[in-house]
Amino acid sequence: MGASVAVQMTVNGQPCEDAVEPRLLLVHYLRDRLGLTGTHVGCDTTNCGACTVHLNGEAVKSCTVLAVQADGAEVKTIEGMADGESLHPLQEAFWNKHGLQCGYCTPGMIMAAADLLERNPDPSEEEVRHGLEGNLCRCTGYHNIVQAVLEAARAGKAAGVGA
Amino acid sequence: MSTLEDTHTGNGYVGQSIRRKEDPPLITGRGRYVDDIQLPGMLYASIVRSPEAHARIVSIDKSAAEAYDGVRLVLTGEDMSDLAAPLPMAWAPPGVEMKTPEHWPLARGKVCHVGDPVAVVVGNDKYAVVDAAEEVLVEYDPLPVVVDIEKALDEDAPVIHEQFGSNHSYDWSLGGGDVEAALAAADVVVERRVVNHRTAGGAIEPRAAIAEWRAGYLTLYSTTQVPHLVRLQLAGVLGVAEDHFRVVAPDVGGGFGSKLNIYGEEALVAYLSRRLERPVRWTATRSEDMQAAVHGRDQIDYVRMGLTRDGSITALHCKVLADMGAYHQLLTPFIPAFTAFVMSGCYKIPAVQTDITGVFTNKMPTDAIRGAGRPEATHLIEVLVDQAAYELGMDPLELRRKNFIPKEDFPADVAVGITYDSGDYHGSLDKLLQNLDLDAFRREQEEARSKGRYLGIGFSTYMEICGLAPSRAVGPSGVGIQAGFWESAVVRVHPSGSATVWTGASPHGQGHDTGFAQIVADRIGSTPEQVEVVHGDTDRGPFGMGTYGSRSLAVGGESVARAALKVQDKARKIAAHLLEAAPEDVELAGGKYQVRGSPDKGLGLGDISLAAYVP
Repeated sequence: MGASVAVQMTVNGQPCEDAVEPRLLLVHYLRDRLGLTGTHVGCDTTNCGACTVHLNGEAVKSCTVLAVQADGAEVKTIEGMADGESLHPLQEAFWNKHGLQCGYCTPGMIMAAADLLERNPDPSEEEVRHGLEGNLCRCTGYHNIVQAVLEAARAGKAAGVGA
Repeated sequence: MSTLEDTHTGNGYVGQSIRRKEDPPLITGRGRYVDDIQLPGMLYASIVRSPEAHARIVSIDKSAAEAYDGVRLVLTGEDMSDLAAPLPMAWAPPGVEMKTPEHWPLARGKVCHVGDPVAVVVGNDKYAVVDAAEEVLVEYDPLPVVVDIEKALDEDAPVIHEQFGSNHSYDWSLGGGDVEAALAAADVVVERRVVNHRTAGGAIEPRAAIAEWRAGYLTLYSTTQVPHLVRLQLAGVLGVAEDHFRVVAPDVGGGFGSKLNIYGEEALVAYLSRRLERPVRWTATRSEDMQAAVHGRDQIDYVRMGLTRDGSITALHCKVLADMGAYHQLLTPFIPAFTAFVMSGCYKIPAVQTDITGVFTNKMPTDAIRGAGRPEATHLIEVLVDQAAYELGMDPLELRRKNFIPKEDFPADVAVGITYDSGDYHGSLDKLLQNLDLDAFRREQEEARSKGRYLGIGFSTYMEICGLAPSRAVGPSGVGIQAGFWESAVVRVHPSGSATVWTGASPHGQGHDTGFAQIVADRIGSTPEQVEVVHGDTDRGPFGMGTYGSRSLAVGGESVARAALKVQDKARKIAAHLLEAAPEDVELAGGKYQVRGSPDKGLGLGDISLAAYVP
């Protein structure tokens, strides 16, 4: 066990400071220290994408990022996506389009899709499928997930903002 | 008592596509899966698993692990000799000799597959216990390994469970008609060896379990599809009374059969929590889940199909060699029996016989994964039908049409001894072809072929037994599974008119909260928003059989519907009293209880329930 290292970061707009083992994974920091259990671990190996969060605005798989690598960063998790009672367009679209079954992959899907729409606000269906290839849904709900992301893109366009 | 034919006259929610009630927490990161649960003083368990497929355990040195900072306890199989019973297997077909080896949460004396648990390390830091587990020094004496089910039956094959003298687990047959005579008389016999490879369920949420033993009362949170069965069976393994034992399946991240079991790790955390009087959590890594959750399929099928020259199938025989893996889990040997039950497929075949032999190998046990035995049958039947079409020079679709059970035969008794209640297979195929431009596919195929690219067009039909029930068919007096195959439900209306439904089904993505709320809302005159569905907690609802085999809506939904109709009956009586009318004159229409023909004086459910609670 190595000595603790000080980290500070902003998570969903809240500043936080902690002392962590250098090997502590970001996903475990979020889940176990901050209680943000919406970010899930599905594979431990960067395959499934269930643990996807935003690190300085970019989607990363937090099961293979060390907490110390997020030192000084802005982190956003699924818990930070809604604006109070008002759901993020992607959350709304996943609900509307039955984009989830067991819900375990859903936070990662939404975070990955948000990053995709940030980079490409008006993707084709093929671009959505390609954009989400790093996220697995074992309930095999890809069709509705893609439909949800396309609906969110349309909603974002209608609102005149990026999703 | 209401009749089931349609006394519900609510607001027509069944059939509507509504947004799921369970989604808001799941899309906002507020779900509650087992690994999300933190209990005060919780300890973490890490399991030492065998890297050997078959070996004697010579020695286990725990000392380095025990000395590790933060480690509370290290246990081996021998340290747990006070467990009341081994892990259960629940299939006892009448008259069949079934060889079921003892199977313990931690191996005793030898390991029989890669991943077989050997020791467990418990401590207060989830990283430290993994470090310490690597310090548990196990000396193995490797034994010859058997992984091929055919070679496993050879005279000189290494024997995994010495007490049985061979790797043979059981034989079981199902059939009807004289298959050998029909094959002998057939114009053509098509034969094939079909390998159905091993697969993993691979739910996206790895398995996990937390046990909390507190003042003689045990609570187990588990990623399970069958919380009530887990309580019943583990009560026996642990020697705990069911009334002092609660099992909770919170949000569960998919199962596909891989969480339809009674697992050693569930018993292990419960045992550890009792011993340490602290909550204990174990969560599988993905690699661990692949070694420690049951696998599926793994059959080799020797199939013979007899036909007349003009393409009538007269006989089907299948010899199934089924890989049990190293032990029998809850339903391991039963799964290939499912293959036998659906061996007639969609076809009218006068003689059908399936002979199953279960075989032990040095692999993770198999059990119910995605279709559980039935897709195996579909695969081998359809492969043989295509092969027969090829050998007879017939169009594969024409051969299927010729042998489909005709619509007018339903209800149809098939040779394996069951009755198909309804079907229109010709009609289904016609409809498919209407919706499919086969000619265009053929043109595309030709075009591709002219460019040297091969494009295949194939058809497959299937018939599956779904919605496992009733008890007389599937239970002890039927095919011999030691369980009941009913489902339970309680519907309770609160004073203000909202309602809670308790179901014995236990979802892991299926959407029971929404579907069952629709069913109940229609029957009691409410809305899905006002009906809360509770499941997956043995302390909060009645005993139930859980969710698997496409049974929840068909069986669980039916029990919910019947319970709701009883509530409607009661509400009608109270409404009749309030409206000074005869109960038989009160009807539920458009969500109101009203005297027939007097809709203006209708009562809402809330009016009635409040009057019932506060007369």
